[in-house]
Amino acid sequence: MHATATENITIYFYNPEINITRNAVLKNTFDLYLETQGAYQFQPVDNKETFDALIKDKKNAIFMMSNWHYLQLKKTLLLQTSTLVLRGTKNGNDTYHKILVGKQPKLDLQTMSLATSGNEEYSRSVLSDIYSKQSIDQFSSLQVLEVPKDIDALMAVGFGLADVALTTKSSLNKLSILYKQQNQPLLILGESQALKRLAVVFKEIPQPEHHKIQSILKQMAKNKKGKRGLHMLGLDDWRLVDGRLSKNEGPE
Amino acid sequence: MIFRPTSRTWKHLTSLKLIKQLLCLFCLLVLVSCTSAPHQTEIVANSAKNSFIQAPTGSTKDKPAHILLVNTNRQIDRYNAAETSFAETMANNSIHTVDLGQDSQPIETLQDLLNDEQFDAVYCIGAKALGSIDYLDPDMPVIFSSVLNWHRFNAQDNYNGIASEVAPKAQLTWFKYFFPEIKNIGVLYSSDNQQRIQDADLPAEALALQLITQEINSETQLDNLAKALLTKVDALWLISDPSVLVSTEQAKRLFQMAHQANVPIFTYHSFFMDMGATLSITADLPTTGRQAALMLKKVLTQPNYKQRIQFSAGSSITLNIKKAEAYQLTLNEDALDSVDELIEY
Repeated sequence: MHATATENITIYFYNPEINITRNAVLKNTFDLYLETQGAYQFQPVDNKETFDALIKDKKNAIFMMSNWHYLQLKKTLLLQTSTLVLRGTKNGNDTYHKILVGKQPKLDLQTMSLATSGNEEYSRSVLSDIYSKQSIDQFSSLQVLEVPKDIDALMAVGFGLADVALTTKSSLNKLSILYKQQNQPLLILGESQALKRLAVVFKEIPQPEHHKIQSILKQMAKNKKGKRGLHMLGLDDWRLVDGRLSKNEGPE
Repeated sequence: MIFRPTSRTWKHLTSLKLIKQLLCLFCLLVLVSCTSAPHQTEIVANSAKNSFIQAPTGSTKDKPAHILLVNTNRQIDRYNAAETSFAETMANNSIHTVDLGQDSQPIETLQDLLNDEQFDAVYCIGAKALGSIDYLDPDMPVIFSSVLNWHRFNAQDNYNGIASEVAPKAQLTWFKYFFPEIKNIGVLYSSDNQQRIQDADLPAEALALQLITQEINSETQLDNLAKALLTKVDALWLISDPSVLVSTEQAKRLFQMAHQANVPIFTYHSFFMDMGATLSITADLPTTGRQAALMLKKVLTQPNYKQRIQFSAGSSITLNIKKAEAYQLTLNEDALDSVDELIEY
């Protein structure tokens, strides 16, 4: 069964780095743009399990997800029916770096508290990437404080509510620009490898619908409402990629 | 051991507390001097608790803590959110939850419970929960959140809590992040908040903001002093000050004056968005529950831990983008990735 012109196509969204309390605002903002383009809707999902089930069961659907999630998807049978079509970009770059930030240069991995905007599973996976030479057990006693936003995590360290923060370089830069005269600057204690930004995967969307939606999403950067939706996700554009997952193509 | 008060007068209560303390001291002496049963169990339990405290790491993993969670009203979303995230963070520990929502005799309920079960700590959500526990004054750590007058509990030794608002310096940081061209921010405050305003001065300076403050000592002064202040500022920062916001009517009048003076209002709670605020930075309730859980773990494992009150580490941000445009504020578009609610009317 394929989508017809009258059928609603849904873009499902889940990103462990974005707090689910923002789901309503994301839906409203994206729908305001999408409803001007046709029978499309944006549907954020609260948790990974539901999102995974949707990926498995839904046809004629689009899935917007973190690269971490996309890499997991690549390991499943779904790669036979799905195509990676778009990557989020910011300032022309489709990658970003996660950094570990603290006030003290030495870490006590056994007792420290970590503020992070990602969920615990995701945050631990990024930490193990940053400290790839150390055993994952090193972080077993880590106290993880999930906060809604990257900047919350940084301020938690700045104001003594957590020892370290897992955040992005761009968030640290934003805060550094605001606080030009900071007494005790925040130190970068570790840095992840370059991580790919959001992935947009089309599942069983036939042509010409495939091309149409791809174009609608790509045009977001040129439309006031569309641009607002991109900003809500921390992006400013999409980059087209054309890799069949089954061929193991598409950048990671 | 908790004794049921026979009278609700403070005089009686104070004397009961004294008796209770003396009795506890006596019991402790008996326990220390007797090494045989029946007190053996108590000594073992206390020793276990001590080793729990002294263990440098992860003792909550070794021996689950038994926590009493008292919720003012589970039907209220904000209290339920704090309870859920607390319970998730304290997974693997034993939590006995009491919902006081429909309870007309909360003190008696809690008293019976404290007599029946041995808890390691209490977590109170909301004022009714904390007020009831405070009345009983149990000899164990008490952690609280979602309590507006949290300042009152700052001085009590075994009380630690999460404030129901984001730190003033964090609020200022968000203001500057959203509206980088803002320079002069006005604040109306009463003498109760003098220290808080002074504490905000340094971070404001670091953000290239100037706080222009006006103390309000009586309700009748508000109109004239507010009008004068509004002529000097780019935005008005509404802080939690019951002496300034005496009534809803007064708050509405203040919003009207600000609107007439073409001055946007930034505030500490999303409640004021309906009155016409442009930006609000509210404490994120699931985060306060998680913070309370981590604080409780620290209190149990580090006997000398004294944080007293933490501000909320998580923010929930509401922006009225139409008002920002109407006031001709320069919005940092990048900041939209931090917005939780966007109002467009």
